[in-house]
Amino acid sequence: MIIKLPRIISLHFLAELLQAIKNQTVQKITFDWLEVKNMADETISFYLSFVSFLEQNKIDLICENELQCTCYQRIKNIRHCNISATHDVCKDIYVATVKTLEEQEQLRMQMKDFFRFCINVGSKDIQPIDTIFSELFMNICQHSDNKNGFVFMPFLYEKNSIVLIMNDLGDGIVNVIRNYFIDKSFTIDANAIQYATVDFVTTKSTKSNQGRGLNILKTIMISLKGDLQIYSAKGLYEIKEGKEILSTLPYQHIGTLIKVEILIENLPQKEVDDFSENIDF
Amino acid sequence: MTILATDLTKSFLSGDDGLKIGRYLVDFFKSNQYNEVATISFYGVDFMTPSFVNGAFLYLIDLFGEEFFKKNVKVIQATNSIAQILRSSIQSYFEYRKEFFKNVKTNTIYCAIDGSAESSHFRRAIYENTQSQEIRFLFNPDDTIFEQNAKNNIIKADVFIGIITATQFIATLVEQINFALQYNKKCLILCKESIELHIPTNIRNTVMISYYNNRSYYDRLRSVNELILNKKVPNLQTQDNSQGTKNANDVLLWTLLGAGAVLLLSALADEQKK
Repeated sequence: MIIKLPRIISLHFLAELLQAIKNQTVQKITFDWLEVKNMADETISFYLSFVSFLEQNKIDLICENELQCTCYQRIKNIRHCNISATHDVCKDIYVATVKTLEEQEQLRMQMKDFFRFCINVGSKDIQPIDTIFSELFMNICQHSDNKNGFVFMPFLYEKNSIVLIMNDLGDGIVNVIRNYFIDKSFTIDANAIQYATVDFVTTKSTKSNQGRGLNILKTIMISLKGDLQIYSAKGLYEIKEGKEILSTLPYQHIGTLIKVEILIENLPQKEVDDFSENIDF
Repeated sequence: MTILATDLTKSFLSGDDGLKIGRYLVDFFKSNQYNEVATISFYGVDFMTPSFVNGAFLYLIDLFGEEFFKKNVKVIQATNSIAQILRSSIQSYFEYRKEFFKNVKTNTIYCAIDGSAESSHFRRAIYENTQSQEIRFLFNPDDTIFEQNAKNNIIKADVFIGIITATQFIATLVEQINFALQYNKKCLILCKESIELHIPTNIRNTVMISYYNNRSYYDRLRSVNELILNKKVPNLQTQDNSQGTKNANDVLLWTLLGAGAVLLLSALADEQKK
């Protein structure tokens, strides 16, 4: 089967495509858009992850319009220079897109569609994933000082697990933490990442941001017995089976990459929620 | 009064979404002279992030403190999961503040009072107030001459607070602030609202000035905490952080100034009750 890529690629389309690839009915994908002439960086980022995904699945992406080949080439070149590390980390993984904070709600809803379409979560509650997604997204938008990033959200069929990967190409947690907490000495970069996961540690201080995002992520991952990896500079911070592991990477990671993996069976059961709770603090 | 959250925001994801509620509640309390309980209904809201809670509620705790928050904010018609997020976020923030203020209290504040009868209330109340003994205050001498002992105290202190209750003492205060600035001390002036504060432009642009009145304690509290918060939070929209926070140590010192100011204003409130 040959699939022609639509001009606007929705998550819904990608979910369908993913299913087709899983069923091994796709040999090649073609495209012929004219709009890609002056692509924005974030558009390039999107296609980078898309191309990576196709290559991993041994599917050819063919540009049918010669005029567009230069753009396509540009995509491939960028991938091979500045995000090669990311690419290694993200193999086997699919896609989503890069959006602004304003479009976060829309993206979250699309993510739910993706779940409904691709994954049978049954009676499980996906709210923890929803929270992780929102907190991570805000982390990128508020802290990276660079809106350019990747969101990958695959479902790994063999392991019956959900993987969520976000990579921004900003300053990176390690640099930001080291510059802000100048009186603290972090022996290795992973120590700086670990410090960023402590509750209420923030480099943007208070008001509407209290530095809770990474701690919330860590808490959820421990409670769901999930795996967490945070890559930044030469640091790798992991949580595996509830334990923290700090290590040093053999390369310098650009920006910050956060990967979470959760087994569907570990998600909590969905409870019937009514609006009956009254709270005094 | 019951406030329906969905009337104020349609999104419950980001801290900025939360601030729509937080700011509304601040106005609500102000307009009711801080006497009315705000009851917020989350009917119809099925998802909320902890970041939303920051803007909506932790912001209020920063402005008014735990006691006021516990007494004046109630939530109704929340789902189980939202109730859990609210309880855990707010509880951990209470605990965090307790720990943070322990660190703050290892620091020292130099307090320049102006020698008037009113300002001496501050000194007396601080000495009498057992809680305040956890923060070390160094006061200037009773006579208003700025001498070596006061200079030594300024050098020893981490931050500087000056209180102005009468115009004739402004010159002495300016002299002390100038000295403190030579040592890069962060400075705050608490100035009585009725006073016209004529100070050199270089000082006005460098120090924080909070005007207080004798009407409402919570108004004074909000005003000084808002000032500190703005100092701690650079304007992210314009990337203007020239006057704001540079690093974690700065945040600690701004917070120390805020905590000191709150203690002084509480002392004033206690004195007024007497």
